[in-house]
Amino acid sequence: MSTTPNRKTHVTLDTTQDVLTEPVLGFQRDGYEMARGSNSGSQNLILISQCGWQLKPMQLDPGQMGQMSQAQSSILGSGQGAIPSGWVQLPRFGQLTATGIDYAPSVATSGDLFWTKQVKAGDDWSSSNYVLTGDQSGYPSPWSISQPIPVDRTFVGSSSWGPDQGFVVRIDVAGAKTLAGEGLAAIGFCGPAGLAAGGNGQYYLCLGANGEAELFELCSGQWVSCGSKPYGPKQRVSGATHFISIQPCTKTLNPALNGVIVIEFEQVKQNPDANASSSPAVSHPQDVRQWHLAVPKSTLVSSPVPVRLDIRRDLRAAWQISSLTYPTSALLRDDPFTLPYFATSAQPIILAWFSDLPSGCAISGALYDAETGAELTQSGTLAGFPQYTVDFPQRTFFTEFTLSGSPSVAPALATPTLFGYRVQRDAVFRASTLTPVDLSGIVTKIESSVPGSDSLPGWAKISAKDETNTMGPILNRGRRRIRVETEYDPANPQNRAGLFVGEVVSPQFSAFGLAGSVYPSSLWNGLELAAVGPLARLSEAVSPMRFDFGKDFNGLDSLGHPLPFLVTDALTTLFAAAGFDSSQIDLPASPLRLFATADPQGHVIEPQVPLGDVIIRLCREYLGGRPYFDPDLNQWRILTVVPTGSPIANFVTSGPGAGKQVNNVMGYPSGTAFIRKDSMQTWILPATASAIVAYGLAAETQGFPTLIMQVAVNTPSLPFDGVNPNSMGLDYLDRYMPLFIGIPGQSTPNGLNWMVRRAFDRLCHGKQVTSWQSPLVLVADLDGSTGTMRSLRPGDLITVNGANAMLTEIRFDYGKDEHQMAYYEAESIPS
Amino acid sequence: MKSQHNLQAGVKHLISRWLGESTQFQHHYSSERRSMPHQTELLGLPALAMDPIQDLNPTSPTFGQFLFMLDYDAVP
Repeated sequence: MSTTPNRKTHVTLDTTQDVLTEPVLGFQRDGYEMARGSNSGSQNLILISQCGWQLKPMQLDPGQMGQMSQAQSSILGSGQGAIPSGWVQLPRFGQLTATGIDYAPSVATSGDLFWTKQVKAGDDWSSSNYVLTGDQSGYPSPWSISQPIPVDRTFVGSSSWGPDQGFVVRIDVAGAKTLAGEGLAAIGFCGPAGLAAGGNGQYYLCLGANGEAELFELCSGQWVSCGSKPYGPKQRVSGATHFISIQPCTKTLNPALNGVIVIEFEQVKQNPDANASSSPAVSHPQDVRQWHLAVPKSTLVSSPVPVRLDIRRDLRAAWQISSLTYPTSALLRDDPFTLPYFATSAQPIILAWFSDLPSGCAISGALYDAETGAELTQSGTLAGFPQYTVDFPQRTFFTEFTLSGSPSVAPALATPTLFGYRVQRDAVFRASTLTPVDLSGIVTKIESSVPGSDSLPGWAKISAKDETNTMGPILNRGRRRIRVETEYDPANPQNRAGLFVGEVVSPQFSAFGLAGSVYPSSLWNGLELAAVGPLARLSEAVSPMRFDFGKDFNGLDSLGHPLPFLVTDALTTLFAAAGFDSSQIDLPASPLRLFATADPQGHVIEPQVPLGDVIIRLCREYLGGRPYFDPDLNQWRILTVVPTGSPIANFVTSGPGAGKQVNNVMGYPSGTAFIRKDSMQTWILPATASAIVAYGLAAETQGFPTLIMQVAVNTPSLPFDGVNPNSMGLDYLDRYMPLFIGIPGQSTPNGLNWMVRRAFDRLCHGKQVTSWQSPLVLVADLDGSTGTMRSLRPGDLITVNGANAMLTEIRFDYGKDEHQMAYYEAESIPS
Repeated sequence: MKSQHNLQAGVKHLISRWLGESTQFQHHYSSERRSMPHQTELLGLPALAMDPIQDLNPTSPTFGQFLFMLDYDAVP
C-alpha cells in the first residue's frame, strides 16, 4: 500500500534560469580621495575638510584683494554695516601714473580699502566716534569686559548671516614692538551650532596680543570656550598684517556632523626688503595655519547673526572685512581608476556625483578613457547624469568636473560643493542557453536537507542508475543547476512542489557494468550527484566593489542630506551583486532604513567581503528574519523567525483510527501525517547567553567619539538581584554567561537597543527540539504565491501531537515515490 | 538512525555557533574593521549614560520585561 500516492519525483539538471555573465561594476570616491595623484589636478578649487570641493574664494589671495577690480566689491563698507564716524576708509592700492606703465583692464584704478581710526588731538578715544557703544553693550563679546586694555566694537553688519557665510578679515597692526595685554581683536560670526554643548551657532574668534586665538560659542547667554590655537608668532603680532579667513560650512555628508568651521590664519610679515628682492624667502613669507573644527551632529539650530569686529583701543590698527566671492567656474580632473572586470556595451555606465547646488550654481561631469584621453561616447542620461558606452575592453578611466558659481558674471557670490562621485554599471544577466536534462527515469534515491539555520546552506544527494549509459555527458562538467520536485496530482502533472534547488558541485559515477553483460548494459553506471543549496552560492560571492549604503541620494532628510539606504534596497543590491537578478528576489516592502552611524563610512561594505554574511546580518539585525530561497518561486525571500497564523500541518503518533491503515496518509485528516514509530527524538538546545552586552560609538564630542553600552539580562536564566527563577525553566543557565557584541556602527541609544533586542531574542532562549520521520507532507501554499501545493519549509507553524512548534529543518530521504519520507525537526513554542 | 540524527543535530549546533551564533563578531563594515581591533581603547572612551532597556525592579510585576519595543520605539 502506498504511503504517498500520486507522487512522482522529477530531477532536472541545467534548469532554465537567468544567469550572471557580467558583474555589477562600480567605483566611488569621496571628496577627500579625489585629485591626489600626479595625473590629477584642480584649478580655482579648494577642498573643505569633511565637506567637499568648492570654488576657491578670491579673498584667499591677498593680491586679488589688493589690485583686481572684480574683488573690490566684496569689501564691506558703510553700506553693509555700522562703523563709528571716527574711522575712515582709505585705499592701499592705486595705479601708478607714469610713462611706460600700463595696467590691464582687470586691475582696479585704486582699491584694497582699509578702515583706519583717525583720532583728533585731545579727543576721547572711548567716545562714540570710535566705538559702537550701544551694540557692544547690547551684544558684548567674550572680551568686552575684564581686558587690561579695552577692545572696542568697531563694526557690526547691517544684516544677519547664516552658518554658511564665509568672510575674510585683514588686520594691519603697525609698529614693531611686543604687545602686552590679552586682547588684540575679536570677530563675531555665525557657524554650525553645537561646537560647545548647547551652543546656538553664534561664535566669537578672539585674537590675543600673545599670538593665541580662542574660539567661543554662545550658550544660553554665556560665552563658552571651544579651544584655542596660535595664529601667529608671539613676538610678531605687531608689525604684521593678519589674515583671517573664516569659512563655516553646513554642507557635509558626514552624518556625525552639523558642519565644520575652517579658520585659516596667514600672517604676512612686513618685510622692508619685500619690494627690493625677488628671493623665494620674500615671495613666500606666509606662515599659514589652518584650524579645522568639526561640529558634532545635534538638534541644535544656528541663530544667524551679523558679523562683528572689535579692535584694541590703543592701536591704530587698520582693518578690512570682505565677504567671500568666487571665480565663475573651476575645473577638477580626478586620478584614473580601474574597474575589476570588463564592461561590454550590454549595459551603459553612469557617472553620478553628489553635490550641493545653491541657486544658479551647477556642476557637470564627464568620463574619459584613461588610455586615449578622450571622453567616452555618451549614450543618454539618467536622472540628469550622463550615461556612457564603454570602449570595450578598456577598464581604466578618469573623471573631470566643471563647477560653476552664481551669478555667471564674475565675481560669483555662491559656490557649488562637490562631495564625491560614483561610477556604476549594472550587472548583465541573460537566459541560460543550456538545455535541461531530465533524470527522472533513473533516480533511485533522494536525500536532501533544507535547514532552518541561515548558517547552513542545505544539501542534496541524488543517486541514480544509468543502466544504458545514456547519461554519460552528465559527467562532462560540474557546477550544474539542479532542481528536485514532485508531482502530486495525476490530473495536473504540471503542478509540482519544489523540494530542492541548488547546484551539483562534483558529479561522480561508479562503473557497474561487466564485459559481455546484455542487461543492464556493459556500460552500466551508478551516479552520485552531490549538490549544495543556494545559500552556498550566496556565501561564496564576494563584494566586487566598495558599496556605500550610507548615502541614498533618492532619500534626503529635511536638511537635504542623504539618508542611509532602505534595508530592502541594500539587500536587493547585495543579491544582485551575488548574481541574482530582480526576478529572483522577492523582498517585503519595508520603510526601515539602515541606522545612521557616527562614522561617515559606517555603512561602507568593503570589497571582497562575503556577500552572504552581509545579507544574513542585515536580515537578522534589521528584519528579524533570514534569507530563504523558495524552491517553488525560484526566488529569495525573507522568512521571519517567529511564525504567525494557524498551524498548517499536524504530526501525530496516534493512529488514524479503527479500520484505517496506520501508514497511509489518506487515512488521516487533511494536513495530518503520522510520525513513524520509534523515530521521534527530543533534545535541548540551551541558551547561548544569559545576558547581552553590546556597545556602539556615538558622535564625536570635542574630538572623541562617545561610548554607548547597553546590557540586557534574561532574568529567567539566572538568579538576579535576589530573584531566583524557575531552575527547571528552558532558559535557565544557573550562572552569568555573557555575550559581548561590539557594534561601532551604532551611534544612537535606540539603534543599539534595537540590535540588543534582536540578539537577545535569537540567543538568550533555550529551545526544545524534536525530530521525527514522517511522510513528506505537502500543504496548500497559503500565501498564494504559487497557487499550488508546496512542501513544508523552515519557519512554518505546525503541531506535534497537538503542541505548537516551529519547523526548523526538513530532510527528504526516500527511494520510492510511493513512500516519500522525510525527517522533520521543530522547536517547541512555549504556550 | 537515532544516533546518526543526534550526531547531526549536535554537529549542526556546533557549526551554527561557530558560524555566526557564537561570540564571534563578523567584520563587514569599514567602521568595524577600523574600530574592532582596539576594543581596549573603545571601552576607555567617554561614555554616555543610557537608560535601562528592561524593567529591572525585582518587585515589579513586569520584572525583566523590555521597555524598548521593536517596531514601536523610534530608531535612527
